[in-house]
Amino acid sequence: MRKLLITGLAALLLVMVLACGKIPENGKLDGMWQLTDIDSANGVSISKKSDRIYYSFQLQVVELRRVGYNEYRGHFNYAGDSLSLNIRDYMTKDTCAFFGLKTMKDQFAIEVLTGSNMMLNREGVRLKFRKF
Amino acid sequence: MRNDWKVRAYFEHYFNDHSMMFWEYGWKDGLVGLELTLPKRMMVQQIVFEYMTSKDQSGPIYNDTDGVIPEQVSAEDDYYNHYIYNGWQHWGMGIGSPLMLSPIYNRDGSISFKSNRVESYHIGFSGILSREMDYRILYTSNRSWGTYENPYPEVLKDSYFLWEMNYQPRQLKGWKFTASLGVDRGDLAGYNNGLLFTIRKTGLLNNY
Repeated sequence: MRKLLITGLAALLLVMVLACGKIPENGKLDGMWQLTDIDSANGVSISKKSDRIYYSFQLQVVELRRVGYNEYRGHFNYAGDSLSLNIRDYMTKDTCAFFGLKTMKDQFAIEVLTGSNMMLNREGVRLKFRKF
Repeated sequence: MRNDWKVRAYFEHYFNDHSMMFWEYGWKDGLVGLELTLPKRMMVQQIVFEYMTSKDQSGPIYNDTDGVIPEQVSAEDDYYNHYIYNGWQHWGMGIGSPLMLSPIYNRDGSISFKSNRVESYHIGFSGILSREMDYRILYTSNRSWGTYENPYPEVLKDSYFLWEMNYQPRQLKGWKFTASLGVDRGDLAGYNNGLLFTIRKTGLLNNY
């Protein structure tokens, strides 16, 4: 009985180790983030909570979504203190601005990244997120 | 440890598809429980604590490989929902975890689970007050994020409480009288109070 239990547990462990091919690889960045505020360089703050904008990060893929509207996917590069986005689905200039981006290719310094909050900075413009 | 003490720990692994079943995207969702049985004749006989989360669902993105984004990401599992079949319910009542609010409570008449990303804590006590009377107290705290497809603008919070008293008079063998008080408070469940009285007889009725 004990031998059977050990064999069963070993087989389970083996399946788990072999199967874990797409485990989260971006630390605290992985998951979905709600854009809550955009602070401009001159100190004006705009609340974005009611716009229901969500950024998602997984593996090498980023997805920007406004609930009830289109979603935009692309790639990202996370280097600990910086984050660059390369959105592949076409976004107009106004759409980029609505999501807090300058262009479809954008780069930010990461000022805060915890399990519950994230703050990105691009030339003094701050995007504030909460984990969702 | 003495024979009349017992500790039991358990874990339920949640999965909605093949990738989650074999932990391809890691091991995050599930239910962890700890149950403690104390010696008999104590006022508190059993204590249970559970933590449950269904927030991860393999991750937030579903992307079929194509020429632009070649990565196949089979996440956003959307527990209990399906774009054709809605099998995890019967007449609007969910047949899985009650913490993912059943479609029958949807105010817009839709038949989908609107909140399958939840995180919950549960604690329960039961014990014996006298030879004729015992009780059970349950409390659950639940937070809901909606779904990945349609997340709520705010995290919604709910609390559920149950207090149950059982009376089994020694003179009336086989009879049991139960009074239960249920209280819901929160954003999804609303503000509800309920009372339930039960009279139960086990054995043969013609003995009386």
